[in-house]
Amino acid sequence: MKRIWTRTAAGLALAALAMIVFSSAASGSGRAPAAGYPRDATLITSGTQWGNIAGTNPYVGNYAAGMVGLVNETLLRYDPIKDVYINWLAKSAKWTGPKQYTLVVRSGIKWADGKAFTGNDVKYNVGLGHFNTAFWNNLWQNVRTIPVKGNTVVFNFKGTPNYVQWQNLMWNLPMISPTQARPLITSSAKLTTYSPANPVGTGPYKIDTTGWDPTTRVVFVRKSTWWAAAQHLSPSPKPKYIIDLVNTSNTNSLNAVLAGVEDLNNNFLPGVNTLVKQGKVQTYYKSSPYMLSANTAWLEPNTRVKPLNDLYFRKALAEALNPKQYASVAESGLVRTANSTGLLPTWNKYVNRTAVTKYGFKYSTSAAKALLKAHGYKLVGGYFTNKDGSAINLDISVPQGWSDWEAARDMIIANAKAAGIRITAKVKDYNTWQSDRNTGKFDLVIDNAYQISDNPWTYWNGIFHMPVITKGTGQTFANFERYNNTTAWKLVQRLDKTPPSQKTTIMSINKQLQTILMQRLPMIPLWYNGVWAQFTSQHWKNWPSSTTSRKYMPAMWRGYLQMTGIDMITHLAPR
Amino acid sequence: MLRYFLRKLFVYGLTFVLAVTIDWSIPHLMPGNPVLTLMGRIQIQDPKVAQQLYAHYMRAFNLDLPLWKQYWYFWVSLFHGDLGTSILQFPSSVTSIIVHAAPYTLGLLIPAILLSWYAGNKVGALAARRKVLDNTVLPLGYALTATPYMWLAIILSWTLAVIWRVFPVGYGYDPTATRGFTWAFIGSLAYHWFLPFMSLFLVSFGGWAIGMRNMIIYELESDYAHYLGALGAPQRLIRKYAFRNAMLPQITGLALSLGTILGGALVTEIVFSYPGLGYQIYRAITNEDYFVIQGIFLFIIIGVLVANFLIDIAYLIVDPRTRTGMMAGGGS
Amino acid sequence: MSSAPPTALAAPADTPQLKALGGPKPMSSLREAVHFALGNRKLVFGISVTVAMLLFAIVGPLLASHAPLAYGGDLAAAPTTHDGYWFGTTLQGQDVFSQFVNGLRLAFIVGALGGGIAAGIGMLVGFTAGYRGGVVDEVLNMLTNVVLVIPTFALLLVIASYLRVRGIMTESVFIGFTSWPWAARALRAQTFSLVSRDFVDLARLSGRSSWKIIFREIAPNMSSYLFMMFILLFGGAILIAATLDFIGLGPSNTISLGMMMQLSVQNAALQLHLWWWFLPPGLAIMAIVGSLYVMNVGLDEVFNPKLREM
Repeated sequence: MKRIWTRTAAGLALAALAMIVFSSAASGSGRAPAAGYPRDATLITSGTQWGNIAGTNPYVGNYAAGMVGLVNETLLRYDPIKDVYINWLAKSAKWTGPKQYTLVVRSGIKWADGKAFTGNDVKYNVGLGHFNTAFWNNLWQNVRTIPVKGNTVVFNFKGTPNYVQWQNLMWNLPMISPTQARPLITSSAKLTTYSPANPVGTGPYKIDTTGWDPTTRVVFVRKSTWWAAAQHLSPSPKPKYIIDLVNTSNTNSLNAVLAGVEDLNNNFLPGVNTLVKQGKVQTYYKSSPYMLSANTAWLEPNTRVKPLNDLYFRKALAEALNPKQYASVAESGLVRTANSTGLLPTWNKYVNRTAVTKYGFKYSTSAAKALLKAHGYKLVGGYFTNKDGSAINLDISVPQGWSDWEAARDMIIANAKAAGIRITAKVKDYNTWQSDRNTGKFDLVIDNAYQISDNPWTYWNGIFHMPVITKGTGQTFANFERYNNTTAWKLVQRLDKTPPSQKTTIMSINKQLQTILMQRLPMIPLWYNGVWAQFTSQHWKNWPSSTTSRKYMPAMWRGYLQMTGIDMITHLAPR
Repeated sequence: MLRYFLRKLFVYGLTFVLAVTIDWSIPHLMPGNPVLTLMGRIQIQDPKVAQQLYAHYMRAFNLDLPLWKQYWYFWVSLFHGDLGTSILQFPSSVTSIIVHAAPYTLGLLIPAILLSWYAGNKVGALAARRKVLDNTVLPLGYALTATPYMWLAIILSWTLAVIWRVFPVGYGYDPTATRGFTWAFIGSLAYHWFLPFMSLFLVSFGGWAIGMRNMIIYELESDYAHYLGALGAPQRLIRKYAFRNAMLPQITGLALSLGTILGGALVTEIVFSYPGLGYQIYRAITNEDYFVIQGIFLFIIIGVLVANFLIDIAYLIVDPRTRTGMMAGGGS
Repeated sequence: MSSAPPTALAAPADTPQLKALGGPKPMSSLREAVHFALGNRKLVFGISVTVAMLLFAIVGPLLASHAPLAYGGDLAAAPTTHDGYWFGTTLQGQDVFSQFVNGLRLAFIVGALGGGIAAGIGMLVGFTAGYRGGVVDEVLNMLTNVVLVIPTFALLLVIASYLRVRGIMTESVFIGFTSWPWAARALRAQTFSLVSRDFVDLARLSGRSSWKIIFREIAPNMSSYLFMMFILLFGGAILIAATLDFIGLGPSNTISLGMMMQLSVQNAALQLHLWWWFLPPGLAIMAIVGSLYVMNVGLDEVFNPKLREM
């Protein structure tokens, strides 16, 4: 009797183990090397994908990391470090009239299925914008005709083009193969569910479907030829395989980097500064801030909530804050503090220094208190009350588990307390934090919704976009602080519609906008979040670095490969 | 006999319906709206289009219906084997997520539960009333069972994986491995399985060993054991009887501790980045992915119910008294 | 969640354990009990460690020279006697000692409250089911089953993420509300076997109310058992809380041992060799829960002379 039990138990345990083997080995019958991907020919990255890989849809925003850039390329690229556009699939692309954009496709480019990449392919891809689920649908609505002659594509617009947004689209819209996509993308809904197992692209790599495992990794394998290398526009990438691993935790990431499992990790990993000094990992800069800047982290007040609707209260709050502490302690010195305009270092040329000195805010608890007293707030028992005598207690939230932001939040609470402003932390998971932010159920949040781009318009649009929607979805992509300023919004729209040749107008609009920002404070810029990137040379060398000519974005993040991430990959050399 | 089983089945069925109802209701009572996340990702600039699309998704996920209708459709699609679509991993289906993750969890849990139970009972029985063993096993057992799962897991992972590099740092298999029915790949799976298994095993092992040791001492001091001893029965035989009797509460304990171990597996998977259900459900909960939460809960509920049922049967077979009692009950 | 498998107490009615417990008290006098208690090494060890930790939890916060969440110390500094940073500082310059003693205090609060609530529900359900039997028993049994079957840990995750401002109280309450089933089952079995005893029958005949009988006749006969059950629930609650906090669902605006573990791990304490940040919380939990369990076995031996070490 007893033996039966032991056997049954052992059998059950074995069966369970066999299940792992069967389920994870099941799809393994392809041309992948039997002994595994050779480590010395494989680049392993991580830090972009959290949770299962959802597929290869390039529009919903959660495609397999690396796909846009490695497989599907863009017409142009943008180098944020040098602030220049790089002609990529397009040999040239420029405004050829007030309502006309002309683009010439490079010849000799082939899709992975052997077909030539033509002007009509560009027309197809941009034309997908007629589906209302496409993120560029608003731009497409302004396109009148798209005549194509061979490799030349002309876009004629109905009204004044959105110069800025259009240019932005040209380096962000991935080119997918019409042969593959046409039968599948037949409706608005299908555009969001389109997800081929093996997307056909023009890039240097394709997806190795045998290595695909949504819980663990996506594997890219190098194609035998790549147009950019053939035409001597780029070195040919050395890694035969690129594996992007699903991210599970910061700790695991750091362990994986230290143990040489991952070559590059794009997570925020606290304490990396120490490890850089110990020579265990490398970063773009050899000393503080270690990382390039990716976006502005700011304190977002809900400007429709009392007393945050009062400009002077916001100003006092801004002066109560000590961003230096947040940058050096909460963010381990891996970031730079923001200047009062919050404009990223890439956009330095737009910053009006005299205005910053004149209108910018500085850390001063006493100034904050004085300002509040001067504007009718009363100090009662250590805390200020509203002008009508009611108590002030603002809540603040950051996505739960973002430990650096949680530390910054606690510091903000302490700073505010010192100035007599009562703020309490509220815990919200990312999703709740986001929907509460979008629908206006918050007092204060730390936020960084807008990434680095080729034009500060994206930043201004994020702050001043109108109208403010209060029903249904609420604010989905901009103006979460619910700030109403028609003058500013008109300026933002004008900036979008100003042709790039009118440099003085562009500069003047930018200056006006930053003055409005600093005077009215709909946002309180704190610091610049970094392009988190830590790498080791255990398997690959020649990483991007501020001290060499390889000044590239060291990131696999979505949207970053077409900046200069791809150049990082093509310049790596085996160790 | 049949009546007994029918009654059991009825109770299990009712438990299932209740548990599933709770399973369904909880994510729906959560604050926040998952469709807004999806919207945030698509980044529609035109507010009119955004509202249209929002309505479209609310309809697609049945979230625009009154709650009772959503509940009804939940059962309907459940019987069609359709668990819905993930919001976070749109457009992956919940079933595909479970199919990918469940084997890892089961492969970790079932051996850890059975082996720790088996080894813990054996060692605990050996240790009872034996000075040297008792003085080593007991403190060790207490230390292990009082250790937070994740803390032990982190220490194991840090020392064995990062410092000494004897074991891998995470994932279900080596990232560079090619999947297939090869020894190399099976070896890689086993190699990555070992540490998470060990940390689960160790903590449960401590509990079982202590439980068994204490039960055996109860048995050895009972009247029948003393009587047997007085009759001159060999010590070995007495211990054998004691072990058998002590087994029964340990089987009950197994059923009671399933939930506990499951929770442990969840945390262990997170620490070791093991791609099982624990990690999936953690992600789903922190991102309010309703249908994934429901799907995985359902899977766990069914799993625990089946395990409970099996343990019920095992108890029945091991304990002759229940068997006769049941027969008598069935005959009346 | 990592509460110990409660087998030592979850024995069904027919185990010898009950025979030792049932009926009128075997204990002859208080003096004898104290004598055996002091002579039991396990009990003495368990009680001394628990009491030492408890004292530390009470006195410690008074000795801390910095608020647990205050920033301002040197970053990632090793333990030092200077300026009261006896346990060193975190990566962000917080006082580890202050966090530790604060966490210790919270651990005892969660244990007492969470364990207490679980014991309360367990007693209510177990006594009622065992005493009433029949349909009441079936319904309560089903309820127990449902709680056992639902992945309570995952449920805790959902509930915890629902609450915006979380306190130690809410955490204790939902730990209490989900960890009672095994206690209820064990008590039900114990009650069952006591109900048929003569002294209970006698009480019934005298026409006393059910609750009076339960609390005057049945419960006192199980007092030692109930106490041991509470100890196990107490330790279990501490472990569950630590796990919850580790996942990031701990109370807001304070710091617990589990949160210390979480933060130290998230902030690469191991990779940066900040052992003074990572080790204390885990060791403390191990010490408290371990000594509670040892105490439990010691008590068992004291109450039950047959189990004493020979």
